[in-house]
Formats: sequence, structure tokens, C-alpha cells
Amino acid sequence: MSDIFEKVSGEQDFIKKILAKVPGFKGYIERGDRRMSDKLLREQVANEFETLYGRISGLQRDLISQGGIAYVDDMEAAAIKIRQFIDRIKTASYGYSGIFDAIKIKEDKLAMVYEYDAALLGLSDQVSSAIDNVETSMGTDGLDAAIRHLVTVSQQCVDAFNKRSEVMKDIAAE
Amino acid sequence: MARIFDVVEYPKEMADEIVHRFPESGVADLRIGSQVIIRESQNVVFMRDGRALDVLGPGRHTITTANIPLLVDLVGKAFGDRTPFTAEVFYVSMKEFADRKWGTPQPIIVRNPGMGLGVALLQGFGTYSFKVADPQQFVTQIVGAQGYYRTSDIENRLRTMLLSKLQDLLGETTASKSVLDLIGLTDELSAGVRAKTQDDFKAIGLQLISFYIGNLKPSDKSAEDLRAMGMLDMQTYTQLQAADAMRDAAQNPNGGAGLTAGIGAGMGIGNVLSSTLNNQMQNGGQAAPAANGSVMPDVMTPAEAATFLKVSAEDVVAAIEAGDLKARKIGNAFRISKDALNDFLKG
Repeated sequence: MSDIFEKVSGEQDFIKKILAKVPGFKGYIERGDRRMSDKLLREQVANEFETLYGRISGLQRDLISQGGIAYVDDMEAAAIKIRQFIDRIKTASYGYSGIFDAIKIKEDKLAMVYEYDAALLGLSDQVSSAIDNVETSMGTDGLDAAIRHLVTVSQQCVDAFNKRSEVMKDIAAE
Repeated sequence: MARIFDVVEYPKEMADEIVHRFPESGVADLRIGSQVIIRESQNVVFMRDGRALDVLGPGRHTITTANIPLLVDLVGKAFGDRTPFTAEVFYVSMKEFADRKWGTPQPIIVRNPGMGLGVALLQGFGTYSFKVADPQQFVTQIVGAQGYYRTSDIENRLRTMLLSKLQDLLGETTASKSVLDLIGLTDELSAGVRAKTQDDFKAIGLQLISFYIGNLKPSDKSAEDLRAMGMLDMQTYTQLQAADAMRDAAQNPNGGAGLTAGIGAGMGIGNVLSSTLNNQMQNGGQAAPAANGSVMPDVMTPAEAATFLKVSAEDVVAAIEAGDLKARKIGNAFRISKDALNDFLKG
């Protein structure tokens, strides 16, 4: 994922380049670039989950056409959790502290947040696999369990995101 | 000091505004190096030379155009003092537009086999929320070159999409479930409409976030309305009218015909009422002649008076309350004399 950061820092506009020459601003610019690359990474994670959200809606439509409307609401529980995860990761904190704040978040600490967000991307594989499971269970007795598993995995995504703020608090406390 | 760079920012809350163009009218000559500031809940679609080039996310962006400061003034002289290198930006609100209202302007007709008239008329209302998913698509496909674009400009289209899916879903559901079962399926229907409408919203660059059914109930259409819709034969119509008269006679001061038609049509109570009424008619009950309109009784309920006047019972009550039609109020019920009705007709 470091390529995103390199891309961001390599595309500095002229105002940033001027500011980087000002004494004391270089570190500030670098931190800003890390935050920007983290934002891009988070958008990438959100986009992955948007695809999964769309797949859940597609399965709900299939359930309706197959007369399984009773399951649509159960699937909606998973869809809402995924939606919650997407919205939260899109609007997550950048890990900012002002120049003159007592607690300063340095570049290496911001890299930890970046790594954490990169790890969240891996959760999409688990959700995708759970959706596959629901898809193959359609019309079988295992559908209930498959949907329950999808809801559980979706909740785990929300839980994992909630721990992000703990990671940032730990950074601030160090 | 001469203008060299621009700083473009739209700090307004954009409460009901989905898109705001800068500038609101005409062409802009944003200079190369100009700064575009975008807030967290916004995106910007950058247009140059008439093409939607890119979507800019939150933060500060440096515009690249052929409008080189100072030089552009010189170039502009050859083009009648306007720049040939136009560029404009469209601020798009990315927030969720929540608590938008929907409702059924006309009842939705669904099958209800073995109950009442065999069909049910359902009406409902609720809320939905949406947001822009693809700013570039939305701006180029829907907004065009307007100065601003509000939620009210598109809500009618969104509601139509939602109601069409709701109607479709109710049709599919009532093929295997009764109307009574629908009461326990409100959440499922809400989720179903959301899922079914996703692609329609996506096609115009939007995303439906939520759809909630606040209430879904049998319609309060009167027997008159049902007949006008061609859903009642004369015998059923007469029975429903008589049932309304009975109910009115019991106590309802408003005299609306909705209860019989709505619940009767929707829930099958019409069957019970019709058999009861048949018995009454065979036993020489009083309600039928009044409803048939053959004989005007000396004292009438608002519904009976409405039958003779060929208006709705609500209109009769309104005339009473306006003082145009004389009536006596007994308890909660109005009673109208034959003479009062004749006087009213004379004007």
C-alpha cells in the first residue's frame, strides 16, 4: 500500500512545494500526505464493500422472486451493518493533531493507522465468502444459517472499525 | 492588486441543494493554479471546455486550465474580452438526504383471493433517504448546466420509482400471501423495496440508503369511488352503501363510507356484512330502501341524504357544519329532516 503514499507525495502541487520549504512545515506536509493517502486507502476499502453491498441487494431481489420474502429482512440486517461500515470508514478520523497541540501524532504513528486501515481491506474477503455461501444456500435448509453467518461477519467488520479509534487513542497515549 | 488566482469554495450547508454550480450562470475563466476548496461532505465535478473531466474529493485542489494568469487577459482581447478556455466546477453534496416523504396518491390494487371482493386496495406512507453515489454521472446525466439543483427537482421521479417497485413487490407478495399476512411483513417489504430500487437509483448516479413503510393499510375509498373504478357490481355496491348507512345510523357523525369499502374490500368483512344485510333485506329492514334511493324517509343520516343528493357523505356533513343544511345533532350523530333537505335544494 506504500505506493499510494508515494503517489500522493509525488503529486504535490506548487503551493505544497512552497510550504515544504518553510522551516518546520516539512513534517507537517508529510503528515498531511500520509493522511491523504490513508483517506485514499479508506475510499478503496469503502469501494470494495460497496460492491459487496450491491451483491447483498441482488440476493435480496433473488429471494423476493423466489418467494422467500421472509428472508429479505434477515439479509437487510447484514446490508445495514455493511452500510454502517462503509459510511464510517469513509468519514473516519484522519488522526490529526494541531501544530501546537500537546499531543502530536508523528509520521510513524500515522503509518500504524494506515496499516490498520489496510488490514480492514482483508475483511472484504470474509464478507465476500459469506455472501457466496448465502448464494449457494438459496433454496436449501442451510439458508438460515448462511444468512446468520453473513450477519455475524458483517458485525465483525463494524467491530473491527470501532477498534480503530482505540488504536488511535493508544497512539495518542504513547 | 490585479487578480491572478481564484479561490473557489462553497461553504453553505446545502440543506436541500444537491448540486451548486460555480459560477451560477455564464462561463468561468478559472485561472491555472486557482484553488478549489472542498468540504468533507462535498465532491466537485470539474468541467473544462465543456467536458466533465474529473471528480475532486474533500480537500484543496489546484485547477489546471489553459488560463495562464496575465497572459489570458491578452488572449481574451482576441475573443471579445472573454476567455476561450472555460472551466467551471459543480459542488455536489455527498451527504444523506434523510427523512424524505413518500405516500400512495392512489390506492394500490392487489389480489386478495377468497376475501371480500377478491381484491384489496392498499394505501401507505413512509420515509426514504438517498445520497449521490456518482457525482459525475449525476451532474452530466441529470443536472446539466443548471445553476443549482435541489431535492425538490428530482423527488417526484424518485417517489415514482419507489411506488412502482412497491406496487410490483405487493403484487408478487400477495400472489402467495394474504393481505392480512402483509401486516407482519412490513420490515420485509421495506427491505424488499430498497433492494429492488437500487439499480434504478444507481442508473442516475444516486443510491437509495433506506426505505421505511410507516403505515400500510386498506384504503378508505368509499363505495362510490370503488364503483367509479369499476370494481363493484350493482348488488355489491348496494350492499356496501347499506352497510355504510347502518354504521352511520349507529353513531358516526362524519358518515364517511370508508369503513365498509376499505375494511370490507381489504379484509373480507364485506362478506360478513353482505350476508347480514341480505338477511335484513329479506326481513324487511329499513336500511335498504333508503340506500336504494326509491323513497326519501322523513329523517335521514348524512349518508342517506348524500345518496339522494348524489354527493359524498363528507360533503353533506360539511354543508351542515357550514350552516347551509339544517340538521339536528343527537349525541355524535347528525339527523336531517326531509323538509330541511328540500329547503336546501331550493337554495
